[in-house]
Amino acid sequence: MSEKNIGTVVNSAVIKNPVLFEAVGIAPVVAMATSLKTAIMLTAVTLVQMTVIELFACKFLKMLKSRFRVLVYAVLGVLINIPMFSAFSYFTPNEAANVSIYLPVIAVNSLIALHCERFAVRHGIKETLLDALASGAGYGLVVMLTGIAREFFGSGTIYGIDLGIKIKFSGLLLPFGGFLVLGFVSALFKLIIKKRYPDEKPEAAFNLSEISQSHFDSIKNLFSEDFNPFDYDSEADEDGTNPFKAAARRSEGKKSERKKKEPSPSKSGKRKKDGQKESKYEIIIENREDFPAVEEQTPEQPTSGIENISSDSKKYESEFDDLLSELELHKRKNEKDGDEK
Amino acid sequence: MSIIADLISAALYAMLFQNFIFTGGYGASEAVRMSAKPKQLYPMTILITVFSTVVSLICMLSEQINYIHSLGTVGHSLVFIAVLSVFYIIVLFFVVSVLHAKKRTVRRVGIAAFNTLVLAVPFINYRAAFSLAEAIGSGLGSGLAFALAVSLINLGLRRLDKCENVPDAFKGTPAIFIYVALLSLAFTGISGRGLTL
Repeated sequence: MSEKNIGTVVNSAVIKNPVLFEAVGIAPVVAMATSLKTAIMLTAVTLVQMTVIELFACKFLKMLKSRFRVLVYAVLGVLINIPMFSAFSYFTPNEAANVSIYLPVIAVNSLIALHCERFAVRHGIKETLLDALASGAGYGLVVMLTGIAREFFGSGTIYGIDLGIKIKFSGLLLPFGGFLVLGFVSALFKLIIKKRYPDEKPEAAFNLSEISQSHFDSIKNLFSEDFNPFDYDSEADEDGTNPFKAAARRSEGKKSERKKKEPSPSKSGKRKKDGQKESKYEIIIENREDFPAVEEQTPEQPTSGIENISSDSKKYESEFDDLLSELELHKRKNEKDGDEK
Repeated sequence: MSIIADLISAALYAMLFQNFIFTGGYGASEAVRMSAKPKQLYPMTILITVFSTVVSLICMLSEQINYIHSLGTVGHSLVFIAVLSVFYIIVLFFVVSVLHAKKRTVRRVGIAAFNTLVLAVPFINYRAAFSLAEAIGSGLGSGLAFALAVSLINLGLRRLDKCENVPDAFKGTPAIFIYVALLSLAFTGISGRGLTL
């Protein structure tokens, strides 16, 4: 196996573990992985599902639109689950009966849709197979660890063999126990990754940048003009094939023609009270406020990566300020000359 | 009157007394991920509520057909996924052609339709032998349960985000999981379920 492939496997299975660091596919782990036997069942189903569906998506679904692909993943998931469920019912009837509700439900495991959309439809067969096996193995590893821990502490057994433990925490067999064990397994993985791969940031896999925003804001936005979830005019039609978007573009074109004929006050063309139009640089200054402020940075700070970009921005900002002040001086000079004349 | 009472009690059951996300783990991934991007909570909640309610209702009506009623878990899973798929296509057509939705919104319709929460509701109705009113109530309740779960997780995450005492290894998803575990424990208590199975 080449170094690149090993890197892909480590990345998909450990560093960006789908359950632990991306919070994907939690439901089956929490609800189903209560013992080693059920964990093995879940791992087997997920591995088969991931491999088959990802390969199918890679080979046949690249031309299909994303909105229809998700439907195919779900249907395929159920069709794959049925023979597997029947096999489990034959070999381990008790365990299969216990998890009978979960097996059909895991057909819509978000892990599969995510990996198909993110990887399978954008890569070749070989890379897709590797990703499916690696992420399936990563998922299986977490499922197994969770199953073993919950069975050991919750039932005092491992693979149904009684270990003679008298104190049992049977609450761990409930979903809350699954979340709790996942939390500790996730912290353990994070510690290991920090030690072995100090440059990697597993927490970056799950974007938490918007957490500080209030969900109550969206209620306020419902009543403001800018909240328009079904308005697609601002979004580009990537392939240009959508007839609805084309129709909307045509109607938009007519609107803009009408606007050209009858000029109306707009943001860029505000008129002053005395009837004079605002000067160009005043508009530039006004519009500059729309852009995010450039980070304040001291020269002592390290200048790598993003920091380089912000120092460049600062440089350009100062150049822009100089240019504006020159324009302002020029304008005043012209005004003085005009007054004198 | 009893129909309304059944509907409300089933909705409350699904939302509060046995919140499907916390006490069953259904739709937990979507709830945790959505709580990190709370601004889209309401459109997503509306979509999930529509899907869970309508699919639950149609699946319950299909139970009136003797052939479907006699099917086992495997047969029912096929019927439920078929109902969900057909309804998804109808909603997709409506959202794209009538509402002219953004690409991002269209993608969200897929996430709202194909998740464990929406598919679990008809299974729960089937196993609990719910009536029609109760099936509608559990569909509505599961959508509201999602909104409640996301709101509660988001409130906790915002505090965790500001907290500096969290050890490095627990920052991010580990802390989220443990926080969700505590919420799940609380809802297990509300449902009156003992910790011994």
